[in-house]
Amino acid sequence: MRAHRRSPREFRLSQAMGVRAAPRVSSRRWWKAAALTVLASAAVLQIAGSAQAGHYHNVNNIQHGLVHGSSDSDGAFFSRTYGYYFGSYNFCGVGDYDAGYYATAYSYNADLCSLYSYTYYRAPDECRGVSYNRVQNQNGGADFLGEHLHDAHSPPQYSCRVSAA
Amino acid sequence: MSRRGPVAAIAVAATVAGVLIATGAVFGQGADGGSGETGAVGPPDSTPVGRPTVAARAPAHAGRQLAVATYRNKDGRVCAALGLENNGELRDRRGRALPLDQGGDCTMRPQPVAVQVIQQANDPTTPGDERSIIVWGLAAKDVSGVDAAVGDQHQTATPGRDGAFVASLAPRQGQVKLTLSRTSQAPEQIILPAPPDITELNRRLKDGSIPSDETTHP
Repeated sequence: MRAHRRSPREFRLSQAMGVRAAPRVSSRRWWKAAALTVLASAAVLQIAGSAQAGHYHNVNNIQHGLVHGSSDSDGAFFSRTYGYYFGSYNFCGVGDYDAGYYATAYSYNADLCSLYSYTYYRAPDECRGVSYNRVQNQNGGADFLGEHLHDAHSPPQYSCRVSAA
Repeated sequence: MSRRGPVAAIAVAATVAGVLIATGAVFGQGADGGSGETGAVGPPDSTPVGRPTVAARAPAHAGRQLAVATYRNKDGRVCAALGLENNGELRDRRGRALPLDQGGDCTMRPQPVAVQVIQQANDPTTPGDERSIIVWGLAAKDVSGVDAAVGDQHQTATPGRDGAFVASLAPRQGQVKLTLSRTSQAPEQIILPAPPDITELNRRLKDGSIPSDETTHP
């Protein structure tokens, strides 16, 4: 019986499908590839998660800021102040630079002050959003966190007001 | 065993390691991502385990109903959130479910009450004047009533499940006075500061007299 002789195309295909034994690769290369995979996975996830993370700012171990949630432009955002000091009032305020504050608040015997835009306003403008944050000493001393504002994560260069529909 | 076995195992292990690093599990970042500036811990995870239950209600403007729902997070902490009730669930102004995984509060210490005092502005896109002061929170087990008073306005709320309560008052200036009725002792009064004045804060927002984060910290 006449032996079948493989064409060059068949030969490339068989190589690609791993029919032939692949040349031996040194273990050092595998470790390099593994390290690159670790770094690539971490980088991709950090970038993907940046819409969630990075909104909290930290002063005196008080996490606070304008927290966008899953998107920077869907109108759904929070003002949050997480000040776990005993004897403090934690202040927050959610709003935008055009409509002003939709709501302001403080918490007592709770570490968190949290306000959600859509609970208080039907057409929030997240791109021009603003968060008011402060942690006041109940005993009248200096603030644990002085009052200040946080703007939207994206600079408020344009409006992304969500329709009130 | 084929040559691909160890390769696949290394690839899976490397990907898992990358995921752990990215989520901060390896280097100790906060549960909510945190700022990464100092590795400080963020608020506790407020994702509900089980179905949140509306535990307290108060009438609001335009026939709406303010409601507090309580639930447990994965650590068994009591968590609570304020919203508008619709068919027994917390909703926002669009009728969508509140994102409790991001907006719930699992840090309240009802000793004997934990409170959030809110001053709400008017929403011009909805009918009626909605300006109001909302007092909500959790009360200890022996608290049978919470009377919230601001100026000449007051409302008494009866704590429900997990001690949840909510009261909605017409806007007034001045301190918030809470009078707690307790089954184990005499009534107790707590004086809290006036809620932040929205009109004043809006004026300062316009004239730029509230410092921004750019001038105070990164």
